[in-house]
Amino acid sequence: MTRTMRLLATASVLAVAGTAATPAFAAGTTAGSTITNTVTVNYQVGGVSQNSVTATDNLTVDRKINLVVAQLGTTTTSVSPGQTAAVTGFTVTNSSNATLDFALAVTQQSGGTAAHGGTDNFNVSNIKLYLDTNNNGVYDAGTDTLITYLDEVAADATKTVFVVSDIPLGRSTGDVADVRLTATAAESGAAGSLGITVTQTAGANTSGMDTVFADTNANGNTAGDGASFADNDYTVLAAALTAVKTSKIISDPINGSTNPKMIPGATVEYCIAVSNGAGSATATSVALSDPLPAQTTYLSAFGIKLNGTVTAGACNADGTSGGSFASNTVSGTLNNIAAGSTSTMVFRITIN
Amino acid sequence: MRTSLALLALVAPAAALAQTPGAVQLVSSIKVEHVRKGPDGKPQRVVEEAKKVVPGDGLIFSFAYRNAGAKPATGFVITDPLPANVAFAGGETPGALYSVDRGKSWGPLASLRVPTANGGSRAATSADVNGIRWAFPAIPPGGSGQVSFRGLVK
Repeated sequence: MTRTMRLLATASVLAVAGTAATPAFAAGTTAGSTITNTVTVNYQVGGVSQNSVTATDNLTVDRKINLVVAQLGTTTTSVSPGQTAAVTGFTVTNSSNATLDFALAVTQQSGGTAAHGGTDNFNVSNIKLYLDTNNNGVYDAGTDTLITYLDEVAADATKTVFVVSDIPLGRSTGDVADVRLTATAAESGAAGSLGITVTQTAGANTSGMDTVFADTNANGNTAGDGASFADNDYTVLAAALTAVKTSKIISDPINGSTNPKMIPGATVEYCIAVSNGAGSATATSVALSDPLPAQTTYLSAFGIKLNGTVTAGACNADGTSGGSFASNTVSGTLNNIAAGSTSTMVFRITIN
Repeated sequence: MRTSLALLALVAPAAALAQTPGAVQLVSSIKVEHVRKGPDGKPQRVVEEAKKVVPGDGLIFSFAYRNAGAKPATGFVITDPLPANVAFAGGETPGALYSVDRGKSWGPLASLRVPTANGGSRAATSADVNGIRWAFPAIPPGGSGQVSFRGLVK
């Protein structure tokens, strides 16, 4: 007996090292299944083989509840102020050894560091959840299904959930909205309905199937609560437009184009230069309108030149003809203005 | 810690021994090892009855044997084909022989090889084990002992 005991003691020391390695089984053996171990002894007495002796043990595998919510992709969602249906995504993985439903909830952070850095400083609105029905990892409006929970997620299965929301107007580049998706384990129940929240088996272990919460505290989560969350975020990339209007006297009736003066009959050229700040979003559909003062007359012979350039802050008065003049107002729509570039609208008037 | 592990593992088999009829008696037990927060707040390994068992849990398989006959039992071989949902995790009583081909051949783990997809073979690892066996030349009348190994619930 002493000898056996010594051997066992040795064995247990070895085992601590042996089981310390992380098991490579994700969800693993299905809950409720039985592990049957049968051990056999064969032997001989007086050189004659005897009937073998067997012993059998059965174990019921309990239900291990484990789920992981993670952000989809590794980058923030870049959005424009006022954008509707802006999409950010999450994956929800059922690492349990049983099929489960998952209740889903989105919460908006208030302040604090967002998922991809920066500080949360605004909230989105009109939040909806969609299941990536066609499993392509991209939100497809009209194809992906509007959901409020995940139904019948098999063991080891991962579902992609999109958070689709609207971005308020008036936000500037670098503003961040952080959203948190929390999934809570629920009984799978009937397909098409969210089951009741899973609870751990209370009190003494039973020899039947028990329920054990095995979710971890990774990424700020609470271990063993049967729920998991992750954050993802929206970052505003706005256009930062500035408009500068300059004028220059082209000629007057007395001096012609040599040192012209601002006298009645003089021709004046106006240049409206619109610049988009470096690092901003490309500005599209930039529409300009300039009501003329009463003492001036639009010079239709010159017309309106759009999409001209600026050199070292000076208007080049170039561009292509376009725009319109109506109700004593000069109007024009510029081509897209990329970050860090400038576009102009140029026209001329005469002084009454 | 070490003492308590050994004691726990011994209690059950010893109590149930005399029930198997015949000359050789064999009792099998499976314990599960859980990590719990101990009185000092540090994680502690606890070996207990295998009631709460989930994937990833460590199992301790123990087999107690005894020759209750009047003559020596020779060619005494204890064989356990691992259950399909259990992975071998080492920590065995020394002297074990292994099989990586479901009991067709046996030997020390270091001597075993596993065929690979390209027609060659590689050295077997503990993950390949699907059978474990102990062989004793003879157990004298009244002789007894216990062997054990560890597994992981897949």
